[in-house]
Amino acid sequence: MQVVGEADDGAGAIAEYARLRPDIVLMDLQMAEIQGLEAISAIRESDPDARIIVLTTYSGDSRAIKALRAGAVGYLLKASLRKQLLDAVRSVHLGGKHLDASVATSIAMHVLDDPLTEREIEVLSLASKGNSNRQVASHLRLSEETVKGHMKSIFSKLDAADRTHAVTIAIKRGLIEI
Amino acid sequence: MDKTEADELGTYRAVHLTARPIDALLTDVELLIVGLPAAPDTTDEVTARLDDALKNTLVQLRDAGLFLGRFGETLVLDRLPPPYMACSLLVVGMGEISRLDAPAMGILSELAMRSALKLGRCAVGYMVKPPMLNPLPDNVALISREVMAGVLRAIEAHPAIMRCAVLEWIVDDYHVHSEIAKAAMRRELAEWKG
Repeated sequence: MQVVGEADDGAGAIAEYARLRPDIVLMDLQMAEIQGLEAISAIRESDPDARIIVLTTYSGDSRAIKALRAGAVGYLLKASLRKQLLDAVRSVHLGGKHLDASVATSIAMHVLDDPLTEREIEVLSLASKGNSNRQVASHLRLSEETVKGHMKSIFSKLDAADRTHAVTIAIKRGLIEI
Repeated sequence: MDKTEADELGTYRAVHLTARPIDALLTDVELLIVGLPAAPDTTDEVTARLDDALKNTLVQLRDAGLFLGRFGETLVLDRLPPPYMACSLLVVGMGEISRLDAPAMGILSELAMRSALKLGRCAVGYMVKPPMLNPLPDNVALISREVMAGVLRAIEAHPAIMRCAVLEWIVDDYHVHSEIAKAAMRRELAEWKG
């Protein structure tokens, strides 16, 4: 097993993949400029057989689902032991998928849920910064009633009791960033 | 912990093969290998119990299209939570149940052994089984021989990647024709020419 290349950001990862064509890619999600998810999509678009393992601090289901849907075949947490990382590289090299069981369970609990829309994520992100419905409406150039409707839908989708609860759930699941 | 006594099947190179009933939750192995068909199999109580402890992860992943259970597809779930005694789970896609014949079961066991060798696991529980509501003894013998042949092919093809002094390979001893299955596996091993 040999490390043949490294990149500092998503754009670098895409360029280095095209140059080196490695058997396996270990990809972070949080990077400058082009983020990990975009880099995964771009690499898989250029090479549908690319085998990409995400190595991240995010344990929430949202990013894991997006990464797997983008074409990643492994998802590991940075807290994983070295042996687990090597196991993942080996099983992915054999053509399989490899997930941390806790991530897989987290994915399974929500993968079939009705997802938040882009607009709902925008609304919730603004609410997480302390904005009232009126302020959210002003930011997004919507009516306050429309924002209330979005919030109601968000509560229902996340099974949240109130906006604080909704924000807490969304942060935990990686639906919004703060 | 599961302390069920094992029946000897034999040894091939550094792999010690035994058969005993495996409890998916209580058997203390490094790697547990199970099969998942492409469509729900209501007769498969083993996978259902196992997946229940995983909060239906396998079924949900299949329903969401993230692991489809296609023939030969594999998924490793690492760091299994309690109540599992096993460290990790290898799920092998079985494809369409109606297409599973003896040679196909042999291909799956070969794939499973190859994965176990690559991962360097030294204690493995093998629970991939064909859906057989009314198994005929001849079919059981045929499938068991193919399963053993698949295991032996993988060991033969990958001698250099053995990472254990001895790999303990435990085959789930589950069905009504248990003795026929074990005898067939022993026969395949004894007659194996490689």
